[in-house]
Amino acid sequence: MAEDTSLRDFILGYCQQVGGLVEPPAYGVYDVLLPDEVAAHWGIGSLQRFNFDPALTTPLPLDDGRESVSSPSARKEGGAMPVTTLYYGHPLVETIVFELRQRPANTRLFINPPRLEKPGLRELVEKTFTFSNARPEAGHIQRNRLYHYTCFNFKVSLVSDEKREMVVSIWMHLQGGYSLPPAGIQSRASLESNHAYPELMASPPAWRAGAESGENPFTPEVLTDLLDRARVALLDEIAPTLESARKRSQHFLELDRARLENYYAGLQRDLEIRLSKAEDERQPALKSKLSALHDERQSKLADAEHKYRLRLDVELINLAIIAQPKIEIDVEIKKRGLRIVRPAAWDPVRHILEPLVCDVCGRPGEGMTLCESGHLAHSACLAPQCTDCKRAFCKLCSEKVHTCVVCDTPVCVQSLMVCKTCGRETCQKHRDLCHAADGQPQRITVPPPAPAEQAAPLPAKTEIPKAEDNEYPKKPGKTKTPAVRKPARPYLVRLPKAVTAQRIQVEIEVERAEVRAFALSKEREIAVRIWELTGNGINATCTCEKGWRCDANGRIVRPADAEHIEAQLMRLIRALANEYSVPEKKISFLRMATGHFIENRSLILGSAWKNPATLAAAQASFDRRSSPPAETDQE
Amino acid sequence: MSSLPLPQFSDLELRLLPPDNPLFRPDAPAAFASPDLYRLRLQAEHAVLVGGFDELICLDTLGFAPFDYQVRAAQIMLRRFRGRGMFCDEVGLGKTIEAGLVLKEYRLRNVAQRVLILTPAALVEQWREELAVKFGLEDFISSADPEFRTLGAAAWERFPRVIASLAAARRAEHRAQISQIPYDLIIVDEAHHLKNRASITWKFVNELQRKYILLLTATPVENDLDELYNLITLLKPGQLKTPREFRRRFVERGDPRLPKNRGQLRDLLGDVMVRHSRAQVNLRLPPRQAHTIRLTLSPDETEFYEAVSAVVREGFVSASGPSPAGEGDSPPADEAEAGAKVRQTDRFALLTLQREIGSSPAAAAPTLQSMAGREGNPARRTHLWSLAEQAAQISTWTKAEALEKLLTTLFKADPGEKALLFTHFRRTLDLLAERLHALGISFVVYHGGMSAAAKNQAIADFQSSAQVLLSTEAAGEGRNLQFCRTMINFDVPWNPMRIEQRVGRIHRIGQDREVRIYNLSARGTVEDYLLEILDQKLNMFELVIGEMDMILGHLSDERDFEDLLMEVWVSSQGQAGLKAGFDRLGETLLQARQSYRQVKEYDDALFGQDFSAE
Repeated sequence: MAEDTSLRDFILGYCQQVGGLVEPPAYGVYDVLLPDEVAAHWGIGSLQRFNFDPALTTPLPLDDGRESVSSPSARKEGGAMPVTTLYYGHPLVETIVFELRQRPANTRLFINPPRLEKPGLRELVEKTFTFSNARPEAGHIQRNRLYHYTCFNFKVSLVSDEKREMVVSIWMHLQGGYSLPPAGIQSRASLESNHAYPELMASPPAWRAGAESGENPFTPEVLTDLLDRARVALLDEIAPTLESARKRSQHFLELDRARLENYYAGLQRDLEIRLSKAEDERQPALKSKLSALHDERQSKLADAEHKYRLRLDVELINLAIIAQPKIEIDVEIKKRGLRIVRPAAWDPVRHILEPLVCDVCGRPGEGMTLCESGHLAHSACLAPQCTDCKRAFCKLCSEKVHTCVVCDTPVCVQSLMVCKTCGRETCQKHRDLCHAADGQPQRITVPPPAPAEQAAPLPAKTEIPKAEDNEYPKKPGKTKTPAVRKPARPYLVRLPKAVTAQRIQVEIEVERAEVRAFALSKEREIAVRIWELTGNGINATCTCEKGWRCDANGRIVRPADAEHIEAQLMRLIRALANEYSVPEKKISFLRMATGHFIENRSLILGSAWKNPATLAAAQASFDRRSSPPAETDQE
Repeated sequence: MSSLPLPQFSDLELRLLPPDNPLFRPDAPAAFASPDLYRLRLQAEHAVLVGGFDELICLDTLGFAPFDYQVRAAQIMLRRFRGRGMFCDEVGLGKTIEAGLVLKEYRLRNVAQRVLILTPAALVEQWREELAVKFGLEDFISSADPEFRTLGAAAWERFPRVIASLAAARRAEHRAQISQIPYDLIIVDEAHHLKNRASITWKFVNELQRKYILLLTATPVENDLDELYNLITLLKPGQLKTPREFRRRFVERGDPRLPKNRGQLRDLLGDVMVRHSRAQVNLRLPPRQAHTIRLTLSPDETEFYEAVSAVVREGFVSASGPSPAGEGDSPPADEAEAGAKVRQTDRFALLTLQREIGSSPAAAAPTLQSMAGREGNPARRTHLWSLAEQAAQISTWTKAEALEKLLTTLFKADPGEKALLFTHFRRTLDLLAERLHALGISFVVYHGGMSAAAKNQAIADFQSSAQVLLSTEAAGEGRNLQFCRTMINFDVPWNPMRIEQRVGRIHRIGQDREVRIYNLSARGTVEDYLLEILDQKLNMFELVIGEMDMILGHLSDERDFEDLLMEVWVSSQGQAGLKAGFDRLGETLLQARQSYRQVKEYDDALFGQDFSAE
């Protein structure tokens, strides 16, 4: 049996911690000189000889008849000082473990990068941070600030009919308020006990309102809130283990339940047969037995549930605060009518610009949206987009998005029409329909919205006469005339000549039937147009300076066959390029595969676009909805 | 402590323990430890982590080393049976140890807090001792404890870990209370008392709320297979289906003892039962030889013995008589209860006195003085005082002289021989110590009043140099005394289980020499009659360890064996009457042994030598 090195390091390390001296080993035996008070407290002598390999010792009788244990070499030297073999469970080991567990022993560590500078940080910020409806502008002033990670060490106990425990460490970014895997940090930097940058101010935790630079970020309030976030991250981390334990408990519970149900059902059956055959005077007793049987069944089932009920205990053991200087720069995030400022940090250890954080879920993200209230949010953290003005609100501001009583589409408070007669709320399009059906709202069904990650497409517009070419076919007219028709409005809205773009970037996701095209000017998004293949056809949504006037927004196009679908999409992309006066050679294609974008020379759609059955169904649906049959865009 | 359910795990209870950490307290100074101490702290936590039942964490905390098969049995119970099963090892193989391992494991893992152990009355204290000494579980209280009895029925709720006699627990005034308590673990020793589904005892255990339940019995089947069914149903209702289906599938028509479909039955039993046989675990012990040295007391001693015995008989009769209120009157309930307590106390004192005079006159003197002090009748008081004085004046001590001769003979034959000398009474022990000292025999004393360090030293000295370990019943609990092979019972306990426990100190695994047991017995005493029954009739000293317990368990009389002995002694008149009375008791024991052997044969045939859940 070999020496238990982890136990050795543990015991000798603690002996040194309490002021003891440890001599290098001789023949596997360590001489340890402990302070008198420590030795007295542990009930042993000050001078000890420890061994961690049971195979090294043999019993040896001493002169006074007692047994001692000494190494063969010690016997050779004539020494008879007893050697204590330590192992897990030895009383001294238990004493040390108990003593250590009486205090948390939090610590501070430091990462001291050799260089605190990053040339071109402004340009990097503006290139890296992208938003679906805003653009970043980096500030000119860079600051060196102290950032912190907090490593929370939890003891997690999973208890049901048995108990399992584990220690799980969760690293939290103090200023960002999110959890992150430590591997990327620990593999690149050493954690030191000395602080090389004591003069730097601490950056405040951005997720807490009112926090300012220079204040101590480790107040109990901050740590308590961060601990709550760490617990959530912990649960995410151990979710597979929890699920596995839950399934196990559920499995055994089901087995027990099935056994008990079968058993008591059988007993009940037997009793009922006896009851049916019993004489009158025996009936009450048998009925009473039936009732008692029911009670017993419930009691046994409750026992089984009690036995397999899962309980998770989470206890904080201790924590380590790791400080690291980073280069901080303010980022102004702007869109029409709105501007916010967020600090961004360049990490000189990981060589990354740390992501900004979603104000809704607290997790970092890219390509977020700036909501009308100045919150940054993932697309999944957004409230439904207003169908009238296309304003985006996050879930924190979801009270600002109401629902049209006629078409059930989302409408923001700024676009909302409130009827003075009935007080109901509608979108602008249906403002006269709130009480059109005998005082009740006229119900109009619109096509189901797109998946949550995309902005909800508008319902297909009603047919409007237009003067110029029919590149965008009209939505098929309705077979039934609505009770109230709105007057036609002009179709064409000429784009202001000043709005042009420098290039069109087209992004294709292989696994989804979706193509996104961005009209960019100086790398800022002018317009975003998305085509998605749905059951009704190719739905187009557009976010541009035209706002609700954009004709492309909400259009549904009849999809071509699989062999022509790419050409059809290409025509739509060229149309967008024409709108913004972008030459065709400035159209670039990026294809997303296995999590990365790959540049292509031409449009290559994924298989989701070319499924014949899907296309045929979409065509059929489009045809059904259009009367007379609508023109396609095929030449 | 907050407790929040997780939405995605609606059946999971989440407890977030508040951080006991100064960084989270506004008033505490934020002190940081060194990185090394931080890492050591984490290592310490890793050291106490509890994993699955693949590895038992209790083994390092025990005061003894269990056998491999016992550890395996506990693991099977924990892992495969998930805490609901039956230990059915043959007698003497350590079912209590196996149950104790399971209990300790659950306690260390904090999975079982509320525990109830139900045993025959005679074993309650034995369980408490074993749990404390061998398993370090000292927080169990027995239902006979004065602190428990004072609280009445409320004690069951108040104390989370209780050892109680099955007979006491099932009484109506306790049963209702106990049934309301959700226990984590229930252990029932001698579970063959639960063989009848229609009995109050079975119904009582069945209605108890529990997560885990262990049944212990060497003979799960005694008369017919329905008994097996009833035991299994307590563990896992439905494991053997309904009674009708069980009989149809597994019992031969017309013979309730004869099984069919044995293979299927064994498979089902393998989910709830662990059974080891002696042959299976290869438990071989050297033989043991018992020698009874019968002495004739001196005239003084005989006169003293008979005089005190007469006092005991007279006292027993009056202690068993009507209440102090007089015949024909019904005393108030509290007076009757107080009267019953007094009579119980008197009976206990008289029984102790009768045992003391069998040990030594000097041992009886303090009891006689104490009784004299309490005696209200002047004549009796005077008589008791005179007997106490008489005890001090007896010059001869026949038993001690016989002991001297025995020890001299033993050490002359082998100077290296060691002897474990038992006596129940401290006064006798002190006198024997003087005698041994005067003889120049090296000895050490051992009794329950010594500190742990003193006890350790005594054992060490006995092993190294002393020839005699002079001890009360406390000797060797949890200790290895197999280096000694000779045991002398200076006085013989009236409970045969106690005798067996004494023998078990040296006749156990690790003993490689034939064990010799010497019993000193004076003619005409209770102990003499007892030894004749146990040694001559039952060959008790040649029985397998644990079989005596089984035989006593087959007595139809549920009273303690000591009470049975006392009844014969007190009620019999003259030598002939005594002989006849003790002969009848001996016949009863023989019948019990026969009954036990029949059951054992039946169980061996049913389960075979190779039944194992491993």
